[in-house]
Amino acid sequence: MAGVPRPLTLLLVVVAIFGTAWVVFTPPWGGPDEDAHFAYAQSLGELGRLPGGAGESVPGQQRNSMDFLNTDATVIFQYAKPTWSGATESRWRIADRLADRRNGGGGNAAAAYPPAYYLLESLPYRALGKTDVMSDLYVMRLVSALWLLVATVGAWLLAGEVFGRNRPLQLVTAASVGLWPMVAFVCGVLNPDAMLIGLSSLSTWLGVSLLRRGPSASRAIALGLCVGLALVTKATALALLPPFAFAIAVTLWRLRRHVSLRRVLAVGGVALAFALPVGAWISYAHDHGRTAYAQATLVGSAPAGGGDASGTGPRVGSARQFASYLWQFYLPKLPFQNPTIHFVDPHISTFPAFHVWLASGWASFGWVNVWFGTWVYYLFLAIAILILVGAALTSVRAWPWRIRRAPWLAPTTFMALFALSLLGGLHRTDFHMYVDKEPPFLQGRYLLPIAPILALLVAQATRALPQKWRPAGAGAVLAGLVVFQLACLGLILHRYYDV
Amino acid sequence: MSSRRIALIGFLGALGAGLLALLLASVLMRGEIKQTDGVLPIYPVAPLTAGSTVCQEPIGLADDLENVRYQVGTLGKLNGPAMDVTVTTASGVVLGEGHVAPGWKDVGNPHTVNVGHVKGDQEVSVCIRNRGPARAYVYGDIPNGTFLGVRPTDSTSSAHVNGQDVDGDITLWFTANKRFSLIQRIPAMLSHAAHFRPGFVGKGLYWALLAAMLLLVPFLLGRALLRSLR
Repeated sequence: MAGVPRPLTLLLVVVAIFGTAWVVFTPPWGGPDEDAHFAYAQSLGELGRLPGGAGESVPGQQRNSMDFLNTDATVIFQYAKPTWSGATESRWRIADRLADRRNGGGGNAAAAYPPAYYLLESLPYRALGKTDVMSDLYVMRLVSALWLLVATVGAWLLAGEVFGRNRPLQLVTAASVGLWPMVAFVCGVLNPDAMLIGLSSLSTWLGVSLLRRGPSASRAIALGLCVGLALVTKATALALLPPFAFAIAVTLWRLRRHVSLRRVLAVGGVALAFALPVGAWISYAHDHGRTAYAQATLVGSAPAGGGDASGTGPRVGSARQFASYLWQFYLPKLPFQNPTIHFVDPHISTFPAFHVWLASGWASFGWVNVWFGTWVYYLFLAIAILILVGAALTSVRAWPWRIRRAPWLAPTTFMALFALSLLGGLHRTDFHMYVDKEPPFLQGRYLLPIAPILALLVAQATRALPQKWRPAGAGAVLAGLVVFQLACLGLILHRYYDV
Repeated sequence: MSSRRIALIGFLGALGAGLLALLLASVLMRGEIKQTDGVLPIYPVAPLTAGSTVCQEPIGLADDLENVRYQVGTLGKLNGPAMDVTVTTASGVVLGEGHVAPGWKDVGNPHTVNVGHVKGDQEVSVCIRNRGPARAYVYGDIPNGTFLGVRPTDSTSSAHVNGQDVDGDITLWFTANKRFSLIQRIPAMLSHAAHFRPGFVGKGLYWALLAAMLLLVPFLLGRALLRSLR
């Protein structure tokens, strides 16, 4: 760890402790669609092929453990618990040895996803050889949790670009990502979002760095590779394309008067680093009759119908209806807006933006059904408002802004483009599902790829304090994150292992 | 005051306040239920005429139990029948039993029956016998109109009336004689969490992680904060 700043090293140890806690505290198959994500990697590791062909949706060995554990009921119904009994576990261990590992590979909820995360997870699966399914699952979870460390490092580096060599602010930013319970939870179970969050964190740092420091072949190639890998991890990574294109375009513009063979080769390197993983996946998918980005294709197609049944509102799937949807998501519905959009099954709030982005982005574990009491989310709302006010105050203090040639303009545009692309894509998907009368799609954890950007706001908010008290603000944020982690892990313990 | 001291004040102050709040919450949350079979009392799934018995089995008992609680009604009859509750091993060895006197009123409350001390960490059958004279209905849930194709009942055990399978499962709660706070239940929770895990994840790891989170993490993070201010 020579050369790694000591505060970062210490933070990474802390993040690793909490990451391990999330790995072992979350019950088997307790992550969102974890059964499907495991079955995907298992298909690659055991059968050497992508799922979606002949076979069961999950292999017999996995299904067997799910039956013994009461998994189906546990992940859906609040009152159901996983099996706690050592005696039942002994029966399962005998059955596990006899269960079939090779009858999976069929279609499941994750089968249409790109393969990068699962290819990586198939490595520990193969390395373990024939073992019990819990050893497979937990070792694979531990590998997945490494992305939590990657995301933390990315956030530290990003803060270094934004705030300069300001260690307290870097520490607060990185801790706000690495110690954010939802990030730790998602990385601590089998879910491609873990890799997406890690790669997004690195991409954000590399993009901001490229724009702030000026052209650099190595950084541009690394950015191309990260974005390319993210694109073969999950379709959500399409949100990285606009900021990536922006960063490359700005860099090329800056180089327009300095053309040389070395620079042309560097541009070729960026294109190659980006296109290699993406091209390989698209080509493979095409050759095997699959859709490379099934989710994006679905969203890009015309909605099947639904929406306004009265005939008095805007045309189904129209831009006007989308605008009405967006308005009703963030603001109270206006009298002339028809139809009323019912976004969520109310749990915390009927106000969608609060429920989805804040409540489920701060603490909704399991299969989006493990929550704190409602009042806790109003406390979160108060903290979020405090952070936004703090960050806004620091911006106001910086007035007058010198926008022309400001060094922060391009990096800020990069981050804004990423955040807006992600939000836009998520809303477009949700809207599509709404008009197709599908269940609500949006969850707060889908914003986690921009967690490092949001963490910058937390760090920036501490600068609203008088200079003398800023260290206390940083300390309070770190302590708050530890308490938040403990509360969330306590919630998990209580939900799954207590009555 | 130095910036390092101010940072420590912020860190330790917030940490102390937060941990105190968590401690208070976990002391105030009290309950006597130690385990359930994960079934809600929605329908009268097991009608019991005089002499009939409903059994739910096998139930993987995690901890020792003293009482069995179940929901039973008479659907309008004034006086409930006498009932026996028996906890046995799979081979029929009686581990605990208790009785309900006749004449109880069906006012929607569950019955809690003391069955003596039954050791945990074994698979048991829990049987409820109607000793008459009135008919009784034991409540539970049935997999009708399943949500997302998932049974609302436990996949690891099933119910039988007089040896015949019934559609649903009966609701059972296992309770202790006294109430425990959440913090007192932490050892049991960690013990429950250690089941169905690979060999390298045992109770010891959970305790080590808990200790690390409560002691090592504040130390490391505090140190990281101070180092960042150098």
